[in-house]
Amino acid sequence: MIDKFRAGKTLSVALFALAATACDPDLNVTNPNAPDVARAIATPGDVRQLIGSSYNTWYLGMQGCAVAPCEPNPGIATGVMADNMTMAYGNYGARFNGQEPRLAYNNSSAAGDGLVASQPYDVMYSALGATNDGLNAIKRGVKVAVNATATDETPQFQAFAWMVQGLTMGFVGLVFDKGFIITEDTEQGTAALVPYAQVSAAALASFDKAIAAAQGKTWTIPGEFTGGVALTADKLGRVANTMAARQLAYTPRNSTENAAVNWARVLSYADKGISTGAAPFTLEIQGDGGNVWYDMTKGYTQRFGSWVRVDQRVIQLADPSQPVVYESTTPPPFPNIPDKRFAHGTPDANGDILEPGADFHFYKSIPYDPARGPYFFSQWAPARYEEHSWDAEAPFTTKVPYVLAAENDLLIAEALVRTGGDKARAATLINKTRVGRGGLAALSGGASNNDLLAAIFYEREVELFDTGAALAWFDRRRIDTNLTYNGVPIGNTWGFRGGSNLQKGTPRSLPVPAKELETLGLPVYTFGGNAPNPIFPET
Amino acid sequence: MFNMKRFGRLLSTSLAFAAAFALPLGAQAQTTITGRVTDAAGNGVPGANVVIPELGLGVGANTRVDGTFTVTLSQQSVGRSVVITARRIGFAPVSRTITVTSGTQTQNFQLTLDATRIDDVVVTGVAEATSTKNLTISVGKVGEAQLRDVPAISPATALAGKVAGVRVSFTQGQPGSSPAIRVRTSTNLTVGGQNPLVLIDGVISKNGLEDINGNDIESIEVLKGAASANTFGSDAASGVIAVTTKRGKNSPEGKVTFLTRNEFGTSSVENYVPLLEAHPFELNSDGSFKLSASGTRIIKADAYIDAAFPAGTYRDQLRSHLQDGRTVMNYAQIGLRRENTNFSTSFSRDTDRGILPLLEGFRRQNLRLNLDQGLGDKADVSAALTYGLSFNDQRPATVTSGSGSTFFALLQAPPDIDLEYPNATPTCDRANPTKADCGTKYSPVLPPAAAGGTARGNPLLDMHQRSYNARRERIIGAFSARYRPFSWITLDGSYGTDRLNDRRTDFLDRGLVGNNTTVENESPGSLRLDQDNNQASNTQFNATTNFSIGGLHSTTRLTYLYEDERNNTFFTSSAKLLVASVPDLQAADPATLNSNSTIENIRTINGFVTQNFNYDDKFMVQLLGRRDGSSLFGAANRWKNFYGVSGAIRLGELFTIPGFQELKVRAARGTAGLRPGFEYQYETYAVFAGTLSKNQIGNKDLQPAVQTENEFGINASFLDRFDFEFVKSDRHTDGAFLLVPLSLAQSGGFTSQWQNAARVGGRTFETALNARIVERPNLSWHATLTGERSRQKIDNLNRAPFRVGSVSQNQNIFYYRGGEALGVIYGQRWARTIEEMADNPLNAGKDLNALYEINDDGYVVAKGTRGKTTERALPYVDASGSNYVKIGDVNPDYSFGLANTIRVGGFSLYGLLDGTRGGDIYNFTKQWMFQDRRHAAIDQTGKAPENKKALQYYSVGFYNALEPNSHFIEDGSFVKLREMSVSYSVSQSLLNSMRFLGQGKTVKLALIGRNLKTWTDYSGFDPEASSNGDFNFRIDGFRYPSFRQFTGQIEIGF
Repeated sequence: MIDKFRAGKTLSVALFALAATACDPDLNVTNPNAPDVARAIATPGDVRQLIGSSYNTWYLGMQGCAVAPCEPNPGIATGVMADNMTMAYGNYGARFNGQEPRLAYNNSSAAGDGLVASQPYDVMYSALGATNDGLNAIKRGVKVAVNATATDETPQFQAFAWMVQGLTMGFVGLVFDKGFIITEDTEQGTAALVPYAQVSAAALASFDKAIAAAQGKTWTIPGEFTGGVALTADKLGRVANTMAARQLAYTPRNSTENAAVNWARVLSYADKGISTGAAPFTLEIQGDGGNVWYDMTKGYTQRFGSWVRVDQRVIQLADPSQPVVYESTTPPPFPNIPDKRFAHGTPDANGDILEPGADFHFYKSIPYDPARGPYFFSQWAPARYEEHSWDAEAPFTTKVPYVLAAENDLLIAEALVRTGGDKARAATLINKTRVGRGGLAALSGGASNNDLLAAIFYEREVELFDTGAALAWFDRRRIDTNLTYNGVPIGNTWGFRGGSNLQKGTPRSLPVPAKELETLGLPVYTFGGNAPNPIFPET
Repeated sequence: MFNMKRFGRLLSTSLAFAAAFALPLGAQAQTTITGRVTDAAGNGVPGANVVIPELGLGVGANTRVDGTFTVTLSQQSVGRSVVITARRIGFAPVSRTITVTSGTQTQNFQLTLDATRIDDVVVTGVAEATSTKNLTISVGKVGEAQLRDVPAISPATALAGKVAGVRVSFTQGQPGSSPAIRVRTSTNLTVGGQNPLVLIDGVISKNGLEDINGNDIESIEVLKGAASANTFGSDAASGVIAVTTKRGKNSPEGKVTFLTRNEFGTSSVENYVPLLEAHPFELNSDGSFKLSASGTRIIKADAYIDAAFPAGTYRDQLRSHLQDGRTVMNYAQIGLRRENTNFSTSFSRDTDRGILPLLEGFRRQNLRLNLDQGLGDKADVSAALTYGLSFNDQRPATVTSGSGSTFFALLQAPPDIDLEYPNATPTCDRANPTKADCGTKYSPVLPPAAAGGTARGNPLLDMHQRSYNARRERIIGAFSARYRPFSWITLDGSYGTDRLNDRRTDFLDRGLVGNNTTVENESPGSLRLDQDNNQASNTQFNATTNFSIGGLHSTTRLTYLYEDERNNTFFTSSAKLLVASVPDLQAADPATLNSNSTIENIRTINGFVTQNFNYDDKFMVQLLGRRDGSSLFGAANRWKNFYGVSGAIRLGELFTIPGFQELKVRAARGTAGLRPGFEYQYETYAVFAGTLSKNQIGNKDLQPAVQTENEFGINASFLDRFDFEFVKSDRHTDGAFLLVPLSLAQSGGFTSQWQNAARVGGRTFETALNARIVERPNLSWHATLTGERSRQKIDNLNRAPFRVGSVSQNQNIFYYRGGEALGVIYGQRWARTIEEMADNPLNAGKDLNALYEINDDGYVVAKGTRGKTTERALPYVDASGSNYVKIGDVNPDYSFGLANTIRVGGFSLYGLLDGTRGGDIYNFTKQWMFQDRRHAAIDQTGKAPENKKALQYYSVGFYNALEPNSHFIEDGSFVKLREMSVSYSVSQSLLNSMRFLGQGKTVKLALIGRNLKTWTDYSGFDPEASSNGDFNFRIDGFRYPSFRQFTGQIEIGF
């Protein structure tokens, strides 16, 4: 028997007790999922992680995936702009930017193709902001170390941070017509948009700081921050030198600007770069299965022939009897390509030639919709890095290059030719891959400047194919328009259509992304366009 | 089949539990009220519920078979003036105020039939249970009477078409999915951010409505905006939906009732997307396709899509593969009412296979246990428990919209391929397939010639070989207790908790067919394990006081509410397994392991006071003040105040108005808020796999968005058969959240920041009309019409205008700009007159008639291109050189619902029509199908030769690289037969003659249809298309279509 009164009283006491216990919660909840900014830039281990990670952000910003959606921008879009790669699918700006006649770059905040510019732009400035945060922490006296009591690693992380500063501003200077120059000394919000030449110059200044800071030191940047490839002070200095040489050489937007480059300075940098000295090396990453280190661009370009293919223009360079572009859906006769990097041998049951070890495979079928234009067609697909792609057995687990040692060699060779330097050395450097990998006839120092430069650009097109994002576009816009390679007008490919090195109407810089312009309250602009019913004026 | 043995065990356990609570309490001297409840014809109404709520939970009785009842009261009640109410499902309830006298007194009731009339008492958003006649705010209510003819699949579907101002949007049709709900207008600009706050038996619930079985619902109350939902403060600007599950109070006194419902039927597609049955290719003389040296089909020189497929080769891939799925629902309910104990429990099993082949679909089990126990006449306790367990083998990638999904690959599958054996040779024997003859079953590598440059894969492969299982377990429990120490005060407290445990396993065995669409390869296998654990609880304490002075009645309620939410997610995945057939992470290649986890703790403290005045049921006022403190608000703004003021005058009580039984005018104004997301305030770096990067900068000044709403309403009952309601609502949300992109250069690398950056306004007119058209003892016809017209606008935006989208390929078709309506679509508009081409600055000074002509579609094209491969519709370009213009608006002109119930004897016919007029849909599916040449709209067969178009006109022109354009704007108007049932309740005399059933039993047989018929001009599967759970995003992109269901039901009660 329950005493009702007591039951009620007990109940009310219980209710009050319940209320009282719930009465004093703490509304200051911390976010356990991400480190707080103020704390991170005051903690030795976090600053170390912050600077270290910014290199990864930079890498993914170029090779495809530092922000969602995870897409390979701008490598594929610029690859098709350069007629180095081809793909008729709409993804990653491939079809739009490869259309003939060319359309203006779609600088739109409606994303889609707008990501081609906005994604690398955002990621570069994100990485730059992080590295500047780290440099500022160092300026404030924060020690960089694994933890407060561990060995002081401030000098090496400061040098590393300056290099990332150069890499991120450098990529902006190469890709966009304008950019912001921001260093650890820039007061927030004061920077203004300046032309690409100034952005590139600022990147060079940062590389110089990194080179100086690494000079003669014995420290090492652990491989966890550099894609599995530990950078000793010597290696870091050489990477910075190579990147500085690239910066100078690739900034020009046309052949005139290219001729005006300080090639002696390029030579000076490249001569201290990754391919020189006792132990030449490739700037590369070891893929970790798509977690932190992976190359999303190769993930899509090297999909066993099903996505990106080698543009027919490149095939013509390899075999001058080939047409520069498909005029109908009917493929040209099977080419006679002397270069061993293209697959040779007997076709398999499907009619494909998938020679193991060849850089480029032949496929009988072309997966593109003919209605999109046969000019997208090609029977050749890149295969050198296909084990890194989505369709590999273990995607993104192999080692892939960003800058091959050969790229530095070719920069030395080009600078030697352009400065009237040692042409025999230039020929030797070109022959390393031309003969060593391609099995082509060796060049000698007696060859003409045209032949040496044309051979350099051929090597750049074939040997460096799909290494660093946008490389072919950087080259095609600056190539001397009078160069010929085996009789093919390599520098004036599109003369018959009114273009020159790039197809008429192809943008030579990407505009500052519409999203950024809208945020800054500036008018949206774009480049390029050669359509019969233009929406934007032709440029 | 329903498991009787299992149920028996359950029943005995439940009853033992109930019995333990139903302890005998001290006997006191008693007084009784007796009487009889009759219908209009004077027949006794059995099973009616006669209650006196203010004397306690257990105070009341159910009528006997002859309609008589006896309510026993304690001696303490003598002299009190109380309200006694008689109610029965299907009748309008009747209340009387009586003074309790000693001994036995008589009170008879006559009830009138009412199948549609909104139940009379509302409990949400008010200080205490209030008769709708005395409400000062507008509360939409769906009662059991409106739910029993067609049991809802889920509580959300139960609202569709029944409550004015509530739009239910079936974002995805796959079984087990929960539709999005938008009440009146949008309150926010975040995609998918319009869903109202959900309460289930008083438990604040953050994990959706999909785990609740519609059969368990007694009623749903909807507070539509700040004017009514202010009692829910900072979480209620999008409205509140309060679901109440069935309790034992409606059972006859002292008797166990048992009810089973079994429903069996099929699901099927009503309207198919029209597929292209012609092609543009050259044929050999033998009728086969001509192929180029690279193996591609050759497009005819004219590029017209007007050739027929060789005989016997065309397949309709949709009709071949979408199937009629089985749906089964078993439901059993037991109720008990004895003295001070109400008890109700139910168990149900649902299976819904949906329309995709090779999948089991959605399976769910539900258990509900509700108990009310009076402790004398001063205290009572209640407990409610809902348990849901569901399994689902439909992978998100299978059913979500966009590329990579099943519907993407299925809608774009080439028509001349057998998807089961795509690479079969002519000698393939499908009964005894060999790999050599038939190739790989469901191979992802489709014959390249037929695929024609589109490698979309095989939509059936994943469903065939992948093991996916989502196991979702949900417990919603509430415990509450009330204590009434004196007649003027009630103290009550409650604890509610909502717990979700969601586990997903996605396993592709090593050695199965890989996803390469070019070359068949072996998959290295993959495994992903996901787990979400969400745990929310709310603790509430209320003190309610009442006093009366003359005709003035006052109710004051003080409330303290604490909410606590902890959400954890975790996943681990591997893209390579080293051991086959072991779905265990230990079999994974350690180098490919990837994992992620998140933790969110959210705390909110709320205190509020609600004051109601009621003068003689003529004048009513409700006042509310509330203060909320939340860990979600920025550190600088941790507390926020909310208020509500509302009043009503019942003119019908003041004056006698001929023909009017009731005429009430009311007005309300209030504020309610939206809480920021968990991460909005934190200034953090993003961390992923140990790396740090700059992402979003936190906002320590972030406040809740606050909606202010003014509401004006009229309620009228007239001519004894009509109830009418009209409501006008004006609202605006200040400080609506926006993720504002920052210039990374200026922010030091941060991409964006959440800000209170917009003001969003809305205006809604709502009407509801209930009519008892015919009401006779054996014949009744009741109808309800609801209507709504809403307009919404972004009043201002503290950032540059921007574009928003929500399907794959980043198609941002919606444009957000201050001063622009919300839900407008921007894109390219194809010009229709030559004159408008003059606006393009590039055309200045040109002879437009020499440049352009109009084609037979009515579009401007370049002169001389008609019929050629260069023919293209040309975009309108305005004087500023921009081709980005307004091309559509998703907002309907109005929407409506019309329900009719006709009862003739034991037969009942019920139908609910639901529809909208106007409002555009962007048909993204169709746009992409133009490129892949799969949509019937590009068929040139039968067109006059001069009007034929080359395929590029569509596949390049309108496809437009998926940029939004006016060609794919379609009118989304529709009328849908949302619910329909024909039922027959077997008469008592017939039952009496049956040996197994007999006296006191009920048997009902019904045929039920859901989404049975749609009338629309929309060309996709279904005009109820939107994406990302948001009615504003009416973009149709390869989504799982909602389907119709046709079932038979048997209901037996005793």
